[in-house]
Amino acid sequence: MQDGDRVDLELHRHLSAGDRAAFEELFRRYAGAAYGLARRVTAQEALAQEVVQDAFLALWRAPEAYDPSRGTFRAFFLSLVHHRAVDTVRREDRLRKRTERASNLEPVVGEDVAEGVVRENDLDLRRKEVLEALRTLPPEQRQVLEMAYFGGSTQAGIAEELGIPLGTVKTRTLAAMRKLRRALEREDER
Amino acid sequence: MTDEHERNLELLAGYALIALEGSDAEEADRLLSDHVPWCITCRAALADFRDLTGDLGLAATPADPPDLVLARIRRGIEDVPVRRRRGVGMVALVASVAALLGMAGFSLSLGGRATRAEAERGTALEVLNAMRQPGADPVALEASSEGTVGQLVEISGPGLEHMYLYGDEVPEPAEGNGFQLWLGNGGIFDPVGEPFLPRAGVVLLRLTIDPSRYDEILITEEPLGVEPEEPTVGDGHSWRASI
Repeated sequence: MQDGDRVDLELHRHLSAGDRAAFEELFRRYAGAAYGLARRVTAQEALAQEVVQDAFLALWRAPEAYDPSRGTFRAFFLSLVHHRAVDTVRREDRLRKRTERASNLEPVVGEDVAEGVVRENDLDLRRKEVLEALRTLPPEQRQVLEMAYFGGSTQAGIAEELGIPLGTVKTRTLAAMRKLRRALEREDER
Repeated sequence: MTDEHERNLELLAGYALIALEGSDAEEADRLLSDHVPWCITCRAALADFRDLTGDLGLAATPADPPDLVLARIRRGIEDVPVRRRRGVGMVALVASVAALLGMAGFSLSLGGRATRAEAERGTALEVLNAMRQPGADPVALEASSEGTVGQLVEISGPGLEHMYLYGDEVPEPAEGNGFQLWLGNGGIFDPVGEPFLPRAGVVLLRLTIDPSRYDEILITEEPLGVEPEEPTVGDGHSWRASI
């Protein structure tokens, strides 16, 4: 377990007891990552703000939804934001228009970390590891993973859009997830 | 690893990415209910995929949200401490639903017809599955009238398509009555769905509704055959909770 994960656990413990200061500290730690993710998936500032607001309010209202035995708080909370963002995109039926809007946002791979908000903390370090792991993926695997994760597309939708068999999308996705996992595990062991 | 397991892992990867639809989504649901709980390999893989989908979020360029977001959140939490929800122990709830599924005679006690029993079993499996989702948020309803017993739990949360109501040892309403579910906002309640009756003390409901628009859930006993306009509290069994 990394130091940041321990900090999160302690903050979550206080939050579960209704400690508002702990909640605000978790907001300070995760607002940037959550908003960046929500903005990337929804490609709309207003929707991203709604997603972040809903995710933090859900955390405040039901901190017990996070079970420390099931993984890190970071994974739990960013998954929550991701689910919320994808749901929002699908509900708003704005997927078809994303291409134009997304052109105004930075791509994941190849982006300059220094151009983002400077956060020299554990999350920033982890971010660098994740970006590095993404760079190790073959382009065709990275493509399907990003279309699903950041584009909110279903695997069937990706197959249709790329003109490839659904089975190929599934195989590439699993291969990408395995490779990323191994790469991040190696980072964890260092 | 067998081809079948490889296919399972493909489904679980797609599931963790919320990228399944149609028959794949249905197959993943079955997998999550019937196989994953007992398969160490699949359980570990799913946990890995979930960790990964959390970490992948960090790949997006971080950006500070406008100050108004924190201001809205602060306003949103102002009234929550006084009406704090009573959470439910996830382990106990999972065990309770799992016990229901494993009960000998489940079909017999819950339904005279196989199709109905199967539908209810399907809903129970969905409840189990829903509780495994990130952000799944079970809330226990508290009895709000004298003499009311039984345990009722509402399960909803970000990322869940449905809201579920699970009840155990729920008493029968008075003859000619049924239980009505209400969702309220600011003290004004809307009836949701048809009146229901417990079957052998068990309640399993699936509702396609977005509960985030409401702040309270209420169940009251109402006469069957009459469309209720307002909840009747204090006359018969009733339960409520803040959501």
